[in-house]
Amino acid sequence: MVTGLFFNIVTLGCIYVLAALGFVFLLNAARSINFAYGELLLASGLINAWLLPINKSLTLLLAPVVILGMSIVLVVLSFIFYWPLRNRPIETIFLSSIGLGLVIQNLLVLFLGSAPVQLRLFVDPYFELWNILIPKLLLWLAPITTFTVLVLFCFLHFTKTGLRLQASVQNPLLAAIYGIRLETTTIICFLIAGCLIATAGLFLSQQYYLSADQGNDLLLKTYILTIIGGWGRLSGLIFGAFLLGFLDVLLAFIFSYPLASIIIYGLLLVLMLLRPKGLIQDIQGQRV
Amino acid sequence: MFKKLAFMIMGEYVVNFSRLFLFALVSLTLVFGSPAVIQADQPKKNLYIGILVPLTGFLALEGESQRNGALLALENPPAVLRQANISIEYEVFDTGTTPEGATLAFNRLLRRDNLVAISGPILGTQMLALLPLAQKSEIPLTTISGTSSLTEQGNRWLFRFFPNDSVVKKAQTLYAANFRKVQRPIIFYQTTAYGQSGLQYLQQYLADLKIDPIESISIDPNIRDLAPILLRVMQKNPDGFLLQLHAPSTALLIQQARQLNIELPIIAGSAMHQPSTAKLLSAAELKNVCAETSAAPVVDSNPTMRAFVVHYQQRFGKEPDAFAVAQYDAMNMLMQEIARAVENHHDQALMTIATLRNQLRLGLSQQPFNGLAMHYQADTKGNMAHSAIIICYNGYNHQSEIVERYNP
Repeated sequence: MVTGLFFNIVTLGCIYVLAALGFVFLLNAARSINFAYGELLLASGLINAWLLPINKSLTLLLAPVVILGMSIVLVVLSFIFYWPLRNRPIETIFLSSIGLGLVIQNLLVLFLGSAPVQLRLFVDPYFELWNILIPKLLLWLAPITTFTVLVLFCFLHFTKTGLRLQASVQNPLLAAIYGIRLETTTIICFLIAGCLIATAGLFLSQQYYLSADQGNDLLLKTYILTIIGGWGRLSGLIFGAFLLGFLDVLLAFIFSYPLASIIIYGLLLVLMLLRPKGLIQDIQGQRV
Repeated sequence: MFKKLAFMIMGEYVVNFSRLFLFALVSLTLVFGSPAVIQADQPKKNLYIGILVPLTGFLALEGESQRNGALLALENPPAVLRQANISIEYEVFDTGTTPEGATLAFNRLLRRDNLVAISGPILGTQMLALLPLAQKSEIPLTTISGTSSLTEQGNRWLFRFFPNDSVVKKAQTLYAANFRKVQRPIIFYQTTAYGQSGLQYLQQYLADLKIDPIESISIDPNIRDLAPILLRVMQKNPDGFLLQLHAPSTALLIQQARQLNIELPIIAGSAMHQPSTAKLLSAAELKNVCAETSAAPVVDSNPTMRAFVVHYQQRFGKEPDAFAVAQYDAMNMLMQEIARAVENHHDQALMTIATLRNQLRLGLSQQPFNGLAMHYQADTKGNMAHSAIIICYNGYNHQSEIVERYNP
C-alpha cells in the first residue's frame, strides 16, 4: 500500500513538473499568465489520445511528431493572440489568452467530442515485482521528466541561447540594448513551452480521463504549484510539483478529497503570508 | 354588350345560363365555405419545443444521449401530429453544467413564438434552477434527471420520465444485499445534487435492510485520481462498492480499483449502464460490475426496442442508452399530448399558446403512455417512471445483460 501511494505521488509529481515548466515558459514568452494554458494542455492530451491509438506500434514515432506539431501550433497561435498585442497593456494579452482558451475548448468539443477520453497504451498498466505493483507509465515518465529537466538546465545555463533567453526574461530592455533579439527569444520560449505542454498532455492522457472542460482546473493546479515552489527557479518548480503531488495523494489518503482541498488551499494562504515569493525564492540571475 | 353577344350565340338559353352561373356560384360557396373545408384549409399550426442539454462538461455523455433521443423522436413525429396538421419546430441548446447556463438558455427560449414545452437538462442542479422559471412562465417542463428533490417542490409543470432515486436506489440496494450478499458496503457519491440525492436513498434503504455502510465518500467530478482513497478504504475490509457517480468518475473508480487488484462487486448508478461509459473500460475491468437503470436498449429483445436501436445506430453511429430511450419516450408523449390538446379544443383558431400549454400539462398529468422503456403514468408529483432494472457485465466483452427487474 505504501509503495502504491509512493508511485502515485511520483507519477503525479512528474506530470506536474512537465506541466509547470510549460506554464512558466509560456508565461515568460507572453509576459503574462496565459489563461489558455489549461486548454493547450488538454488539447495536447486529447489529440494524443485521439491520434496515437490509431496505430499503437507507431506510438514511439507519432508521439514526438505530435509534440513537435503542438509546439509549432503554439508559435502560430502566438501570432494571433500575442504578437499583435505585445506592445499593448499587459491586461490585453491575458484577455486575449482567455479568448484563445475558449476558442480552443469549443474547437475541441466540436472536433473531438465532449466525452472523456484516455490514452491507454498499456493493456495492463501495472507490472508486479517482488509483490509490488509498479505502474508501467512510470518507466517512461520518470526518465523522460529527468531528461527534460537536465536538458533544460544545461540549455539555460551553459548555452548562449539559454543565457540570452534568461537575460531577455529578466530585463527585456537591457537585453535589447545588448543586441539580443527579443523576437527570437520569445519564439524559442513559445517553442519550448509547446514541447513541454504537449509532453505533459501526453502523459496526462495516459494516466487520467480527460475532457474538454477541465482546462481551468489544470491551470489552477499548475498555477498553485508554481506559486508554492516559486517560479523563479527550476528547483523551486520541481519542489512545488512533488510537494503538491505529495499533498494531493497523502491528504486524500488520510482524510478525504474535500478536506485535502481545504488543507492545500489553507496552506497556500499561509505560504502567501509568510513567503509570498514561494518556498524557494527567486534569486536574481537564475530565473528559468 | 356581353348579354347581347350571348343572346346572339345562345338565344333564349342565355337566361338559363345566367341562372346556371348563379347556381354554380352559390353551390361553390356552400361547398368550399362549409366548416369541414375551412378546417382542411386552416394553415398549419407551427409549434416550438426547446431542448436543453449539457453537451459540455462532466455530463456530456449523458447530455449527448439525451439530445440524440430527443432528435430521433422529433425528426420522426407520430402520425397523430400530422393528422392534427401540426408541425413541431425544435432547437437544441447546450447548457454546460452550470445553473446559469440552463437559466440563460431557458430565458432565450421564452422569447420564441409558439413555445409549448421545454425539455430540461439531465443535471439536477440545473433543473432545480429552472423549476421556478417554468412555474412562473406556466410552461410544461420535462426531465430525465433522477434527482429526487425535483418532484418534491410541488411544481405541477414538471414531468420526470426517468425513475427517481427512490425507485432506482431501492433496486440497487436490494440487488446488492440479496443477490451479491453485500453486508459491508462503501458508498461513493458525487458531490453534486445527483450524488447527494442518491446517497440519501442508499443510506435509507441500507438502513431498512439493517446494513451499516462502512463509509460514505464524496467525490468531486474534477478529481482525476482515486487511487489514494481506494487504498485507504480497502484497509476497512469492505465487501462491495455502491456508486452514485457520473460517468467519468464511475469509469475512473472502476478502472483504478481493478488496476489495484480490488475485485469486489461494484453496483453502480445508472451512468454505468451506458455503452459509452463501458467503452471507457476494458472488458476485464467490467467483471463483477452491475448498474441500476430504467432500460437497457442494447440488450432488450423487445422488437420495438430493437427497431429503435437500429434506427438510433443508423442516425448517430453509436448505441443508445436508457437516457436516450427516456428522452425519446418523453418527446413522443409530449407530441401525442400536443396533438390531443389541439384536437380536443372546441375552437382551434382561438386556442392560445397559454391554453395549449395548460391542456398539455393536464394531458401529461392524467394520460398514460406506453413508451419504449416502460408504461408511464404520472403520480401526484409528476413522476412518470416507476420501474427499474439491474444490468451486469460478464467480464468477457462490453455487453451487459438484464439480471433483475423491479416494478412497483
